[in-house]
Amino acid sequence: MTAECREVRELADAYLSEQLLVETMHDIVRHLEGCLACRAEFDGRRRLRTGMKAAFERVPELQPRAEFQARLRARLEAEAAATAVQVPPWRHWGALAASLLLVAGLGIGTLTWLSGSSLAALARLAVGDHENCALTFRLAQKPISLEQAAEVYDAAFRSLQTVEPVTTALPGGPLEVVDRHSCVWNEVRFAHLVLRYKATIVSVIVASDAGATASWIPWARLDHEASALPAVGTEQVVSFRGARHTVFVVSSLPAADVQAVARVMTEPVKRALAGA
Amino acid sequence: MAGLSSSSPASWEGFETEALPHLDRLFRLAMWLERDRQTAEDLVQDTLIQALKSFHRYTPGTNCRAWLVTILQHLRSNRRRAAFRHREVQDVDDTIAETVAFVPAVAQDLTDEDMLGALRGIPEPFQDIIILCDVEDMTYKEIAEALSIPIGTVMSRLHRGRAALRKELAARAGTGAQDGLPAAGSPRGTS
Repeated sequence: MTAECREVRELADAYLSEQLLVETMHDIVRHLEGCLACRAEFDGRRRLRTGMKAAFERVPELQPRAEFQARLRARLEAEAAATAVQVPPWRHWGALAASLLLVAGLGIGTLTWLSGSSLAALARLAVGDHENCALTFRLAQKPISLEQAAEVYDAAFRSLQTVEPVTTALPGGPLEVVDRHSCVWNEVRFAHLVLRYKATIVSVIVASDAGATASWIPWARLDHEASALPAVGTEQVVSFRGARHTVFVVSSLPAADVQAVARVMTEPVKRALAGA
Repeated sequence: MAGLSSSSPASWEGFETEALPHLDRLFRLAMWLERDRQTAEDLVQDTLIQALKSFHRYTPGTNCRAWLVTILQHLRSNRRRAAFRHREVQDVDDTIAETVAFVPAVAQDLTDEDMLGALRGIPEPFQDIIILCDVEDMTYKEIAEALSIPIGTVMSRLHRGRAALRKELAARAGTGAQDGLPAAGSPRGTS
């Protein structure tokens, strides 16, 4: 082992945590390209990290009980109401219904409320993904390919690998697909098609109904046609339903432009999801 | 009561969207730390209630999970101090430093039991750091804030903790030992 190997290995933890300066990261990458022993050492450390994380997520003894989740949610909503937070009445009803179900001993795996607010909550997540993935990369997890995501999380994502707009020639200029991947924002996994129109990024974000079962996000299960939702900050949002999925088209372009992109993406995406 | 109000920029919906999705991971961390389901549930409940009341202090766009973990660690630390005389951990950094000069290679086929059993086998301060960094994806700065220790200590403990973990894994591979998963009735630091 050379002195450079020793130096590189001392930085291995910080490298794997991505907490080094870009220049230092590049120096280490260059060293690893030519050093088999250090590459094996880094691979081992990486395996340990990913294995540890996976073990935490899999081991049943560490998982919360559905009853506890329901009870805690009801408690938090009561707490929020007591501190004058404006909680929509249906949510109190939802908490009450959940409690009654628990008392009846039926058990609850996942709490679901049917409401337009569910769609709004999911739309905010989609906008968060658009802003933190497509615009500025600030995700906790690196995106993976749609193929990889299809293998592990949602087979329907595979169908989106080849989906194309009905036409790329829109009135405002060409519409390009610049990237396709699967990413996670706030614990929800999405399929993400990154488009460019009028020199501005437009995201088509696809959320699986099943993806919500592991999270606390109330889910919209009501089918809806392509429709513009209230803007979230500076982002315009159009949403439509595909088979077992909710799709969002998000961009800071004017509403008419986002709707134009949504119009040429709706049918191909719906068709792809239906055939998956 | 201080906290959210209808005129606050924070809202229940914001809390629901930003904080509640982290409940599962927060619970797993609490369960690992406490090794007792009831204690872990109490800790997570108190953490989220505290977070709800303080949600106006959370800055959107920052790492909400790290913020929640910091609250959880502070609550836990206060509880432990209140419950019994806080036993100062011996100078674990120095002790371990002498024992991990040789760092074995990481085996190819590690099971979840191998991983968690070995993690349970190393000193608690090292476990905490490794979990916050590797499982919770927190930065060194966030870990330092959550545990109220200097960032240099975070880096040093992480380095030594990982070396100790590998040594423990290698030792377990030699003995075939398999334990270390959380078990009821044996909270950490109280036995």
